[in-house]
Amino acid sequence: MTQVQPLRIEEDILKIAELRSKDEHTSKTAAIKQFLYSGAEEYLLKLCSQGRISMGKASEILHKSIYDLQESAKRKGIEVGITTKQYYEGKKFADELE
Amino acid sequence: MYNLLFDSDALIKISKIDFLDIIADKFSIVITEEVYQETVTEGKKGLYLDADKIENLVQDGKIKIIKKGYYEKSKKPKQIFGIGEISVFQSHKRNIIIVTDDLKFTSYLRKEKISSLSSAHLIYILAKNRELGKEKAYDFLEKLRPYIRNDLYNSVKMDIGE
Repeated sequence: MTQVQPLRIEEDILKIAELRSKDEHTSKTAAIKQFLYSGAEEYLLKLCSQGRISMGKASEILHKSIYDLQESAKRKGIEVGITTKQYYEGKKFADELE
Repeated sequence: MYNLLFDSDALIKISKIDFLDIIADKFSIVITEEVYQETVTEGKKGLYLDADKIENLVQDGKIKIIKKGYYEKSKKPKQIFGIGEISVFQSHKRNIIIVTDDLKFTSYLRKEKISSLSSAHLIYILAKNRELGKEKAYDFLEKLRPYIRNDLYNSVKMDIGE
């Protein structure tokens, strides 16, 4: 579902959007949306990294597959997944398995 | 043979590092219908080869799918998760080990006193049990490196041993 959201955007940012729209043969609106989406994705990946949201939920919000999200995290250099502390907790359990 | 119940994130990673066939030989793998949807159906839309690998293992009977009817009425997690993670939580039973790499999901499982493993643990276990040579274990860990935290990579490497 989409909603109309009035937004004041600085002229310099609009110029960057215009540049992108020319480079990528798309509309200025599409370029602004891509900037917004990219920022949202990075923010959600940082929340994943902090353990505030799961990868599954983030992929649903972004309408992106988990494959794509893993690759985005890798590309952006955002470390996600269990911490060393959790690894050692799991290792105790792993050592108990025969 | 232990039953491993994978979430999508861990299943995809294990497949990406070419470790899934080995895991399917050593363990019994189960996934939920939602995890199948996220890893195979969605993956095929994005033309990811790992989606085909997972699908082939399902067709060969090496990955079994738990039908939704068995768990859809079970207790749901009290925190917000994706549909795949919710289905994993709902279908968990005492004789099944959840495999997830997700920080939030792992923390929640601990809170609920449910033990879980991650993809890194599976490399460690097979190396420890000498079912995987150290060189091979390092290879898999190296492939996994871009998808895990750097300090975790160092810890697992140390645990595999020189």
